[in-house]
Amino acid sequence: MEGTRALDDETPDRLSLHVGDEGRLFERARPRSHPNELVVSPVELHQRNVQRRLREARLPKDAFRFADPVGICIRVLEAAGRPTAAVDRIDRLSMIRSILESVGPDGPLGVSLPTGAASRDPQRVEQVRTDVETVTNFHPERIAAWADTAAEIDEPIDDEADELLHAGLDIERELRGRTAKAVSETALLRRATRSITATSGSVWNEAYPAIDRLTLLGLSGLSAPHTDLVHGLLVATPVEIHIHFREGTGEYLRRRVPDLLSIAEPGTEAFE
Amino acid sequence: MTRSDRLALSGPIDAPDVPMIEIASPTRRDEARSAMAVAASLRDRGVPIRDVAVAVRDLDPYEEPLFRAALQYAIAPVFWTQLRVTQTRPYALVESVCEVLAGDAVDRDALLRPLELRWSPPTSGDPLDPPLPDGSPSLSAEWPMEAEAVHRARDVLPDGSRPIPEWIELFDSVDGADDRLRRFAEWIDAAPSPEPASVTSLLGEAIEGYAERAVPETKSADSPALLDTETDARAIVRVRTLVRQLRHKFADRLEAGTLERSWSAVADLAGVIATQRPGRREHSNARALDVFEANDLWALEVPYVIAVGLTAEEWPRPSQSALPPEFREAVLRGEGATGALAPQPAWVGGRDRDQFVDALRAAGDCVVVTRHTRSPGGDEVARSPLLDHVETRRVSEESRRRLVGADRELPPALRDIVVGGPNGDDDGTEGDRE
Repeated sequence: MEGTRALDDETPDRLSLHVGDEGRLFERARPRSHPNELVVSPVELHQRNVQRRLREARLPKDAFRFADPVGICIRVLEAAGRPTAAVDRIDRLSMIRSILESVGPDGPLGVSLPTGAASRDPQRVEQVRTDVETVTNFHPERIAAWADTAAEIDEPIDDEADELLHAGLDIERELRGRTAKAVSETALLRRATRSITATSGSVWNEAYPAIDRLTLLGLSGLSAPHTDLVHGLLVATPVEIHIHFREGTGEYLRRRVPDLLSIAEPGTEAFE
Repeated sequence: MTRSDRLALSGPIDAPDVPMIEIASPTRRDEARSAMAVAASLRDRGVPIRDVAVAVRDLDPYEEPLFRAALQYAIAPVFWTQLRVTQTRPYALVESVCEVLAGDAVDRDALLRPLELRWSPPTSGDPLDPPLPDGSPSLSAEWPMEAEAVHRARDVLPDGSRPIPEWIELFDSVDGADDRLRRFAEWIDAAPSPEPASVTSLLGEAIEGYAERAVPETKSADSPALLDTETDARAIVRVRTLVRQLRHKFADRLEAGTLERSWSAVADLAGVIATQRPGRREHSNARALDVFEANDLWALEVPYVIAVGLTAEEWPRPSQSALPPEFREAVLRGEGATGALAPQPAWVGGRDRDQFVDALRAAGDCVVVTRHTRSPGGDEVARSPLLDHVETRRVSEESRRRLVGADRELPPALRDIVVGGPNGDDDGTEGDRE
């Protein structure tokens, strides 16, 4: 199967993009006194699958430390002395329900809602918010790119796409006004990304002093929050990053990475 | 989308270098039987059951038919799935205790429900259940109450709702009432009002009582593979966590004024928590057949993979999104400034494509793909377009019937693989190449 391709000019030196080819990880399994590689997958069971493979091949796990992206960010924030409490989905839905109730059946009151029968359903509103977050990470440049993209689509879809963007941003803003915690765990990714870049990597170094490589595994997509975390690490730390996409989508995603890294100041949010 | 990008998300799949066998069955239930018959036949021919794995994109519609089919072939399946904790006994126990506490009065069936679910009193230093003066254990030492004892209680007790103190009086007056009824009713009567801390301590007692005294019951009645015991044990872990979360969430809701201070509100809140982000099974069982959701098979190596549910409707099934299709398409194309927006391949079934490829790639010796061709309503169900990317050998309906029949005859295409080569295949009706 397709292995690692030589880095193209637009991909930073310390970022390697792979399609499948997880066997490379196993080649790096060797006895060590401390792990020097973070093995990161958003799906918990995937971490276990890697561990099971290592065990079955009788390879040592010593070189690896397993984590998920949120767990890494919490550790970084703890090192930075920043808060890590986040609202979970259950509570977020109940907060959205109460926002919708306070807005009333017709009222705008600062929250623009998508039109349509389901627009008052908290789950649907949360879906809009997470779609906007996944695609933009609430970064000002991506929000502008969304508006530009919407403008080029035919009517009436252009307006619909624009409305959804504003609905997503408004509900996020409302949620922030109602809690001292982070609105979601994804917000912790942004917070950690900003901490890493603002301290020129020193909080990262404090959280993971012995880590010189981060391997991101099993991805079927690359969300804007994950992209910006990777971007922040590339900008502010010497850590080497390997991303292993999966084989059905990896060729496509690999080509898209340079453009996704083209924004400035990853982790920045369009909220005051 | 540029031509090459579109191709990258819907183009050829680099199929693994192992034989692929395709079995089409009339209905979903038939399909589940075919899949389990393959597993059973492989086992009969000496393939260790842990060398076989079943992969399903979405277990929901398949868990029940696969489970039934597995029993039919004497296979113990283990579903690597989200544990539906609300359907487990420990969860039902917590819920039923809240219900007994919920109102001013409780009827007979609701009162007996926690006992049916094997409620046991807290074990350590129980002041309400002292040993008898002569030093022998108290009359109520046998916990949990046997199912027959609960059943007898239902026969001797009157129906109708009454407050707990009245039930206690009644137990004193009814001839032959089990002493354990009184013990349970006193525990309920002594329950504090629902405060965040008391909710956790009371429900915690219920769950720990279950862990100490009811799980051994489950174990002694279980099959050799201990599947029920495992379910119980997993559920206890989940319910313990849930009870801890209840304390904080109940406190938050009370403070926000969004929930009333009542045991029925506690039960509702427990239901909300329990149906979110369930956990997964913790360990493998060498005597059982692993059934995975396809995503969970990633990076594993198993000689035989049976991929179930390759229909056009179910695999692939694009992810939900609130965004209009035209906008998603533009983001996937990523031209110009749009390129900074993060595209989600799942919008066009990319995640399912990944899972399909990875399920195939997990297989070391052979992949069997199954599908069904008819809906319960009799409509035709089309073949998954993902199968267009790979070469399969289709099993004839006649061979399929022999497979699920009493002799469990492996289709020749599969038999070749198990015996290690094409020799000895004298069945010319088989193995049309796609």
